Amino acid sequence: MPDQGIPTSPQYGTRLGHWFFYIALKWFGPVPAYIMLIFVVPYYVFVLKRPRREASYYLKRMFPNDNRFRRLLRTYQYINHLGLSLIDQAAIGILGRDKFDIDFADREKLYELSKSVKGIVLLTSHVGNWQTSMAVVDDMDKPVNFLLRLEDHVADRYFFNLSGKEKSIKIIDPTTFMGGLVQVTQVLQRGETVSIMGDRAWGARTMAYEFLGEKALFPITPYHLVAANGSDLVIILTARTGKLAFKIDYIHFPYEDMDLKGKTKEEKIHYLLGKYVEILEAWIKKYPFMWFNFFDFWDLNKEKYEAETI
Amino acid sequence: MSLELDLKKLIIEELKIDDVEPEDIGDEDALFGEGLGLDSLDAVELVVILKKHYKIDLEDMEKARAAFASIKALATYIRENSEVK
Repeated sequence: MPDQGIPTSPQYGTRLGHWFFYIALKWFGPVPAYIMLIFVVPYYVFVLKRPRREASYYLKRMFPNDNRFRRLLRTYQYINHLGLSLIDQAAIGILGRDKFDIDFADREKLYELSKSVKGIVLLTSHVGNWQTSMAVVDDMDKPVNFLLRLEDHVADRYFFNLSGKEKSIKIIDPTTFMGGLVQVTQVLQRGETVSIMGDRAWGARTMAYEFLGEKALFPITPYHLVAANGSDLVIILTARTGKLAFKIDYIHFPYEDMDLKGKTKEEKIHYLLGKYVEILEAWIKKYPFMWFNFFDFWDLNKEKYEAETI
Repeated sequence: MSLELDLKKLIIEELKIDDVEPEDIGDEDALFGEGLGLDSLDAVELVVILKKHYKIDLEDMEKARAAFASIKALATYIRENSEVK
């Protein structure tokens, strides 16, 4: 998969998360950084056009009956939540997860599951603060491999670089040989866990699925890996419930329990994708300002979403 | 049956490639991109085939890159690395 096959993401995180925020975080904790958002968010919402446009792809599907004023208000809430999330992303790396109140009731289930000889496809999403999910898997017995480009995750560098968890957390770069999928399959065969984002289609083959009332394009790589390797599928979704407080939902689909027998590869992928979309949509309706995706998933003709897997 | 022919049959069968017969695939034809036209998701299936049929683990990505170049390269890799020939 070539570099040019993956467009860069809009880097609000780069702007919002400039060093000033990080210094404030490191020296004074998250509260001053949260307060700084009061001045930063209006600039992004009222001065710049791009954030409003890119937020509207999602907001107009989530809240189709909003008038212009209401849409602007929602955009403010949405960007403000993004700011809070970016600060938390950095904070978990800089301050350590001990400073966070993480409600993960099913943590032991995931830990037990990770001990099995079968690999796990751990599906995360751009919701709440998914880096918190990483923080709770960083002391599992076997390594957890994240398929991502660190340059697309500016705030996450603080987590990966500073958490000191190099042994338990590994990064597989999707711009390397075969999109990193040969390596991903290898680690699944070793019984390790692979974490993949389920809601970003760049550079991957996609399948359209009804999402918030319209067909949208989702990557099929995670489901292809499940089907090819007979791996279990685990979905985790993280909601911000307060200052440095998070709740993690855990949904496990054992391979044997899924209704995949007799299905073709495409049918299996469609079935598994459907499970994910159903769960993601229900979660988003519960936490509408915590799904941070600023791309037009619903534009089925966008060139950047075309299959481009080599 | 030669290993090369065996591999061609396995790839056609496991990857569900329609309208292609083993004799349509040259030993030195590229498997990915132009040639047979496989992509990275097919590479996942190839890794599974290697494990399932030849008990091979592809730990070294540079060697994997070379092995995935063609049927001939893949067969060579298997001969060098598998006890199941």
